[in-house]
Amino acid sequence: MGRIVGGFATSHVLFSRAGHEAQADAVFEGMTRIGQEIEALAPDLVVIVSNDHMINFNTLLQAPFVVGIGMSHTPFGDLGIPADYAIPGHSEFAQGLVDHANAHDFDLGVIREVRPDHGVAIPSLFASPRGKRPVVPLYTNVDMRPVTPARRAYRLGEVLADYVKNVRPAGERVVVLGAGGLSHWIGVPRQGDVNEAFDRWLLDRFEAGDVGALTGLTIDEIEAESGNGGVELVNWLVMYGALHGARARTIYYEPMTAWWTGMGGIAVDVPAGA
Amino acid sequence: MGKPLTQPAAYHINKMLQSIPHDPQVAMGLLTDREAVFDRFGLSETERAAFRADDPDAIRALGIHPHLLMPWSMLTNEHVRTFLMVDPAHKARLPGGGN
Repeated sequence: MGRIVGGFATSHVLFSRAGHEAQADAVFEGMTRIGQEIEALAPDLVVIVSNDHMINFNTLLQAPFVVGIGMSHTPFGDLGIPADYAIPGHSEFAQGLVDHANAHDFDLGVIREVRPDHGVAIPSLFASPRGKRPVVPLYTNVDMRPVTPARRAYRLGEVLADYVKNVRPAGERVVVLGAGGLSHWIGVPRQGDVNEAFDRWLLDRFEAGDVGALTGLTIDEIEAESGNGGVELVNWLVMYGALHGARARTIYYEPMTAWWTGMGGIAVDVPAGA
Repeated sequence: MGKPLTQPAAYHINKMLQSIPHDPQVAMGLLTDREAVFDRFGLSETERAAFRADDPDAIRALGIHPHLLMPWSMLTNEHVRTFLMVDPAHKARLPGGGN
């Protein structure tokens, strides 16, 4: 019987500070704090739920969910992210998750050699500094139709929690981190806009533990309010299902119009006795 | 997501754009001899014109996947390329020392 010892979510880009140093530093501090909280939980591995950006999966091939089952993952190196080291994977955990999900109505694809772009590599900088601990990437698809509904993303998180609780060895400690969002528009005329009101509403719903409001959103509604990039919210919802919708703490939020995106992060503590 | 994100008829353009991060011949070719790259991927005269003009609306109107405007912008626009990078000051402060 393993344990999920904590859940986190964060936006997954870092860009130039020039001209908006205080805001950029606040974002960096927020991500650093998430890394420190993960460190304090001493997890054996971190499951990072995120999406690729046309590097490993593009218009040639998309799959609803793909798990990185490799022994290690070397970052692709986009955005200047260090790619001179490999992040260890956890093949046995990853394959076991695929098997367990298959027995619980989710068929997950696998990828043996993924070169994580910023979607997984930016959160890894904080969750697994210099490859300090294994990372299992769980990729969602937010680029091609259809995107998995919010409710199903949450449900997959519950299956992940069930796997850790009922299949994994006693004493194994797992952190789940959802990465992406918040509101942003990519390659469309609205690029550069941030919907701060919607971003703050989302953070408020996570703080309230309002699973119904979050999983009741349709992908069309999410896209209308927070853009084709904001659909990455489904990554947060997989994490949230794994934490059974416990109340979240907002770690940081900045409406980073200079970066064309709302940037936010939350922590979800495991309720005492759970 | 009520409409297709990418038009089937634009797949050859998507292929060109998504090759940029992987294939230095495509990336360098688009900077030094773009007509040869357009030849290789079979772009029509109208399609070439949108890229020659570097007009985002015209490129989008070809039916490409919107996210694939990004590799084009990062390749051809130095401001975008340098802006969309982890800041050196942050890199230096990464836990574990970054690189």
